[in-house]
Amino acid sequence: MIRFLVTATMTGFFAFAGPATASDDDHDHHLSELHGVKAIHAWTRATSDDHALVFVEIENETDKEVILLGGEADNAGSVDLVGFQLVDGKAVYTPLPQVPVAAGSELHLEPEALAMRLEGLTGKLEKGQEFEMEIEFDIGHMDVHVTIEAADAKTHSHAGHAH
Amino acid sequence: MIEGLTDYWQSLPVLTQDLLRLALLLLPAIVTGLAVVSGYRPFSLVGALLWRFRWTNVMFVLLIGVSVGIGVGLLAQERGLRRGTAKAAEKFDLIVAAPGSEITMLFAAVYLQPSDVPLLGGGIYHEIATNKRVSLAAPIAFGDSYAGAPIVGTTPQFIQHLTGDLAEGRLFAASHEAIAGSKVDLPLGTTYTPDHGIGDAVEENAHEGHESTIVGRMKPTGSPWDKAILVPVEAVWEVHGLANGHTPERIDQIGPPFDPDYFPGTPAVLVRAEALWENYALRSEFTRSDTMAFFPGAVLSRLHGLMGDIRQIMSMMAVITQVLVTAGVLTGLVVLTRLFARRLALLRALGAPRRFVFSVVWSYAATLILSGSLLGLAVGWVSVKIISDIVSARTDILVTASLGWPEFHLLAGFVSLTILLALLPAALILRRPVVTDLRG
Repeated sequence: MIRFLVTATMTGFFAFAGPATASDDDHDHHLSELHGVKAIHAWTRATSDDHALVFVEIENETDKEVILLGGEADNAGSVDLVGFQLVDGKAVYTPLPQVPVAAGSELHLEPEALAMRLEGLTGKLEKGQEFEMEIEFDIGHMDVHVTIEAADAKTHSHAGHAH
Repeated sequence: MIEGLTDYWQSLPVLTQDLLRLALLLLPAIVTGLAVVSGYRPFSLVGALLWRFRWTNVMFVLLIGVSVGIGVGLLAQERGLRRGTAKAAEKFDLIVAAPGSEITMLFAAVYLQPSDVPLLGGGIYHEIATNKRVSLAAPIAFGDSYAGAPIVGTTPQFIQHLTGDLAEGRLFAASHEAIAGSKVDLPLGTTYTPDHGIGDAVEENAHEGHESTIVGRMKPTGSPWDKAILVPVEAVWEVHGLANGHTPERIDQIGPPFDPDYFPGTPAVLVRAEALWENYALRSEFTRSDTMAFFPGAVLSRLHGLMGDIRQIMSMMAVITQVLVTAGVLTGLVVLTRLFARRLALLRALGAPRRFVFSVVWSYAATLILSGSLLGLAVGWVSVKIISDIVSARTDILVTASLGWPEFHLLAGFVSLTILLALLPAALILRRPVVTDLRG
């Protein structure tokens, strides 16, 4: 009887703890960190084109300015930091050499603003899948998981969640 | 295979893509035409039919032409408005304001639409102006007007950034001097007293004793600033009984630097850096709890995105309207064919092949559709010019719309679809009993 109760209690505990751990993993999946600099909710849009824009929220929690330089991805020929401009009524993304993130401030890479442009994609980006890429700062490289959202997505599906 | 084709298509120049798209859209009409008239020469008979019922035909062509013209004209106008609003915002790199609505501030600071917005204090302005990445930090202070023209307080540096050299006169050098926009109907040397507020809420003579004189005129900018009067920001503060941004020892100074302790506040600051990346760094730096920084171009692009959805609906509605008009015309043709049913029956009785009669009726309908579509292009071209002038006059934003590839593609799609529909009246005429028609 005691053995049954212990087994039942343990089973209940793990059954309860299981999803919570999965959720934590899921949240951790959306958060990367490098020497006090965080990258949260990296995402892109599903596409069959050979290029895509990756967006991410960067938080500099250090007391020094860090410089965002670009990135690398195994599934793309090149990754450039680009900035949105409206030229003659048309949306244009212009390559940028760098963007500094002041100490204690945030930099949001988002539609109609900054982005990482992946050129020469080796395959389709399908909704619900993920891929890995590196974000390059002056202080080093940070690995991030990029979630592929719908082709017409305007934000990460977890945007607004605290991490 | 499909991926290979997609890659090849994307590797083509834009002009080639547009031309190919036009050809593909016209292809069904061309193939149908070749198939229907192949082996026959129906054109002299079609010419005779067109002449015999010329007034009815003219009415049909006019109906199609006006319907097509207004459709493509409105679509081109939407594109022109998008380009005009973007052009008007081009000089406004980055706006820093108190936290609130980006859209409200966009309309207030860039398009000079009256709005009540909170002010940024001297400390924040000083922080912006002394930032190492900032090459221009111009206060934009609005709220007063004269004869319907908004009065905007700013700096000489902002005017040079906005319009370059003046069209006539000189920049203001004292707080009682002003620069007129290119469309302000006040000659140089005019002295006026600003009214408090703008529009229906204006309080005339509220600033009695604070006269200003027009000393210069800006070149056209294609924006609402063409109908504004620009004054030193010091003048805006002085007429409201506030400090003028400078210490008592430098009370006559115009323009920066401003003293934070004597800076009464400004609704917005235009911020400019030399490089785009620096603008993004500034935006990040001034997006915080006490300031809001945004790119007018980005906000406008989001609004344009909404307009893009509306454009798709408009395109769909334009095609549906045109197809309905053409369906009406084709129904009219079915009725009209009854008028010349006897002639066609005679042709068939004389031994004319059914396909020849079919090709005569189809060619007749296709000629009306093509003529109407060409007329529609002309109507569209004229309507675009007229609507552009009206929109420009009402919004003070220079809208220069013209027909482009999207309209040509829409028209090509319309022609192909309706020319296929024209097969119906041609088929119906063959179902008519020859003997009955001969008897009349």
